Amino acid sequence: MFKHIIIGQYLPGNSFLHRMDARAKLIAVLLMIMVIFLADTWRGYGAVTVGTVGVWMISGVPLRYILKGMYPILILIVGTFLLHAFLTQEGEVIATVGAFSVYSGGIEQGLFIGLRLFFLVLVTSLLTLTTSPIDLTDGLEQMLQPLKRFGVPAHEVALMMSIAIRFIPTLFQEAEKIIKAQTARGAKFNSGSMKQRTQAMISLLVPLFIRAFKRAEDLALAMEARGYNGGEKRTKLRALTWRRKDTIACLIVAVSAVLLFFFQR
Amino acid sequence: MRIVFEKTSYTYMENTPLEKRALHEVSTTFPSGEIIAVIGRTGSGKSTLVQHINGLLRPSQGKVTIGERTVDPKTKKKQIQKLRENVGMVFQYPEHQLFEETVEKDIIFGPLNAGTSEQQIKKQVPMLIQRVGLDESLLHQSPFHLSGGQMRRAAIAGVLAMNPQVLILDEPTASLDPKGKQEIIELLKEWHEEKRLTIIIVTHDMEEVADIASRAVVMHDGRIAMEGHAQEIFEQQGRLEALGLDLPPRLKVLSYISVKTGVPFSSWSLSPEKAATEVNASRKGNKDV
Ligand SMILES: Nc1ncnc2c1ncn2[C@@H]1O[C@H](COP(=O)(O)OP(=O)(O)OP(=O)(O)O)[C@@H](O)[C@H]1O
Ligand SMILES: [Mg+2]
Repeated sequence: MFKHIIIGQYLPGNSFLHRMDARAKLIAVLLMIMVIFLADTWRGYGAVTVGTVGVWMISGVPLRYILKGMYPILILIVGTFLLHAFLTQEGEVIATVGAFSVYSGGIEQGLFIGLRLFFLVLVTSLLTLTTSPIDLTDGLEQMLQPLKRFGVPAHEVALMMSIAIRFIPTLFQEAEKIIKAQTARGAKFNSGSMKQRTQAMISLLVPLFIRAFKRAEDLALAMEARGYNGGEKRTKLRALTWRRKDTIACLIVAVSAVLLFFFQR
Repeated sequence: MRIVFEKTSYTYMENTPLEKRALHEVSTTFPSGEIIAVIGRTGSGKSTLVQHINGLLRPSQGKVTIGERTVDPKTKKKQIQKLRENVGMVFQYPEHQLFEETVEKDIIFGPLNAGTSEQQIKKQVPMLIQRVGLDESLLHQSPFHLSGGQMRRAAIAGVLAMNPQVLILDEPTASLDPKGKQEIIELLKEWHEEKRLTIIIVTHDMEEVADIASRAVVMHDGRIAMEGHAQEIFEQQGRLEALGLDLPPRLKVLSYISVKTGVPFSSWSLSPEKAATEVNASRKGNKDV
């Protein structure tokens, strides 16, 4: 059931993206997210598609793997599309389904928002797929450093993120185990009446949450026991190194972003 | 029920870069009504193997026959459902599957799903809870207030309540104290004597199953490395050690005595008293000659 979730997954490799500095990747992804939100014409989305496909091509991640992992999100995307398609009343009426009229503007809106979601997930997945969780949080922490002056707890935020990211796969593995155990006891997750399915969901969620709290408690204890006391004066075992190719990559993304802004009108 | 594996292969995460082949063309038969031990190093594929028996995993290639039913890569999920009512499975750390408000409700979850009436099953609960060695007064407590060992027993009771014809236990005694281990094994032995069902126990620890298993299967790297009568398997110490398995201390002691004194023991799971008797008997025998 959860075999192909790719959110938070890291796929070790040696592609150009894998070797980029985590900070450079974070900056590039931030820029790309901005671009994705700015795009609102067909030309804009066309350019976003070209850009994202380009990034995918240098990531070395197999396409089949990505698409399979996006499958659960596809439901969300289709749902958003339908919602917009039916509720936006702009342009001409194309078709009438019962009490609803579908307008051309609605279809366009739906497609745009759907594509937007798709690209957002794709871009952020490419980031986590090619960056080890440690590098990712180190990068994040350093980028949040300047905000410390304004009281942003950079280290704590980074730590929280890294713990969350670290435990997403664990949570899914655990869920899979519990699903198996309850299925063996006859719980019906995919068939059966609404009541049976609800019952099955409860039999999954209760143990899952109890285990998660237990694990959080254990982790906190273990960290305290080993003398963890926040980020003060901690040094890093592995330092991030910013190379020229990182500057170049960021520049390319930035320039493309600006160009796209003028090009899409 | 007899269980037959025919060239069964299984691959986790098929068609992804994380693909992992966990079973390679495994063929073996678990005869009906026996207690079978599945042993092997960590990661050797024991859990993967036994999860095929109740259709939690479907083979990627080959097939598995359980009684009358066959599961192969094309078997539909609907058909598997029936199988689950006959095959009970106690997972590694079964206490993680407890979820109901009371121990009693948790125990009857399985039978209710299988369509047994609540009245009928509730009558059996006091017997069950006793069999697993828990006090009846615990029935109306939250399962989360029990100790680890008690949770384990409650979870096992929940599977026994389904009265399966095949019972699979994946490391049922992991992280219990020696006395707790012994009690779980005893409970399985009694249940087997009474119901004559097929029991499959996955374990690292040969000693704990030496007394009750009649057959043993040794897994190594997703393949079956050895199989046969439990006694005969446990005797082949050289091979077991080569497969990275720790020999039970008792077996080591007995085999050392056997080599030094030349006494052929009748079994490798003798208690110290019985072993001493056999050594004495054989000495007397020798003198008489
Ligand atoms: N859900 C899964 N996804 C991917 N690979 C898995 C999964 N479960 C098991 N594996 C892999 O399959 C192989 C066999 O695992 P399995 O759990 O069957 O071993 P095991 O003999 O039960 O080990 P243990 O004694 O540690 O429980 C291992 O290499 C493991 O890494
Ligand atoms: Mg296992």
